[in-house]
Amino acid sequence: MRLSEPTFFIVTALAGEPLHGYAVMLAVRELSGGRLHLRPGTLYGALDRLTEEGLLAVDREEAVDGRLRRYYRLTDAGAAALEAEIQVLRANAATAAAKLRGRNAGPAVAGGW
Amino acid sequence: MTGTERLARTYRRLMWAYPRWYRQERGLELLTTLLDDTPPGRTRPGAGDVADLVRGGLVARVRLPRGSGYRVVAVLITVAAALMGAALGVRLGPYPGPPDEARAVGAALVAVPRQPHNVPGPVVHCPAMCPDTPAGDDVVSFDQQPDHTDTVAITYAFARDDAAVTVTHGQQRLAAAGWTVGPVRAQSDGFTSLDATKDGLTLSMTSADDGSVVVSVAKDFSAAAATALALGATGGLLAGWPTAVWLVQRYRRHRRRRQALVLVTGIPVLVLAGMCAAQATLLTVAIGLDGFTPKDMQIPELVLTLPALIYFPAQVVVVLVALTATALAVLPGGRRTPHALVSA
Repeated sequence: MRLSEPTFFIVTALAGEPLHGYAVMLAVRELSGGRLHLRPGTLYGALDRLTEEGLLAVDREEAVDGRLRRYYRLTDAGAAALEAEIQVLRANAATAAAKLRGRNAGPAVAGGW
Repeated sequence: MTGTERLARTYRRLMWAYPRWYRQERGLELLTTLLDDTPPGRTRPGAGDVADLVRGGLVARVRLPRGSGYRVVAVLITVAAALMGAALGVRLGPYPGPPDEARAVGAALVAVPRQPHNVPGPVVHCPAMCPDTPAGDDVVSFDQQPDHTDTVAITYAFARDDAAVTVTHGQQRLAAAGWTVGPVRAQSDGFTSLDATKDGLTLSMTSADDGSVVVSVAKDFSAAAATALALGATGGLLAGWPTAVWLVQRYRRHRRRRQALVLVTGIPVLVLAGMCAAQATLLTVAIGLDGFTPKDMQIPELVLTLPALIYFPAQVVVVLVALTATALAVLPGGRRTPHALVSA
């Protein structure tokens, strides 16, 4: 099962320690170099789906001053899915790099008229 | 009211896009994250956040939990809702209604130049399935409850060998009178038939090997009524799927004993819903091969009310069992905790 880019960064964000929703949003922004800005509606849709698929689980809840923070952690299945995705990305990157090297090292193609 | 409180109130209102069960279980967590993500000093949500919340809420309303059983249940509920919507659309829609008897008899006289005996004839009210046409030169208006949609049937008694010839002659007379006439179809069971149309009327002529000839006259297929049927079916589909998701989500939140009760009451109803869907499909395909007539719009209501035609209390029993299953699924009591569910 391939992970989409937002899902990949959500799972990656939780590969370390359990995080609550807002912390996941910040981590995804940082890990993607600012490219991905998940909004809460999108984030919770992804968290619901990943939890149902068994890749994430609720670690604990903290309720303070009328606010509720639920912490999510990566499960073993989630870690395995992330590892598999890393292997695919690594293989894809190696293939692309090899092709690019071949192009740069090959004979120049005559252009123009 | 502070700016943060005003913002929280706006977010809560936007979260109405989410189903109630979701707001109960995840609402405070989602609101906390929304407030955390809001830059200081802002008192109104940005357009992007509004769109994201509405989209997220709609997704939560239509997303089924994992499991092929849930998918089967959702599809059956949705199909049943579509059939109900289609039946309702036909009832409330601009149905053309039955043709005037005098006009129908006039059309029949073109095909068979023989005045029927009992004009005006009786009006037979029949729930979807009408009795056989009477033998003899009679007129009957079959007025089907509940939407009063049917044909005026004029029956003739001929000598056994003359019936099929009458249809062939009818074809020539109708064509000469300016009707658009189809071919005479001889069927293996001894029936011979043809269809003809003119001025908004559809005339069907059928002879049987016992010598009887039946001329049925109905109004043409109405595009407006067909649109009402399609709109009803579409409305049923659009309402049925979120309802199915809601029921499944409520079901999942009950303890096993309550879930067992929901299954015991719900599965027979779902099996019936599946049979209704199969019957509707088979009837639509079978009738569609010969071309649709206005009365075929009754197919959704026919398949939904079939148990009542066989044994009236059956319909009441099915409705009561369906309501019981729904109540068991949606009424509170013996719930699993939201945390346990999310952690599952």
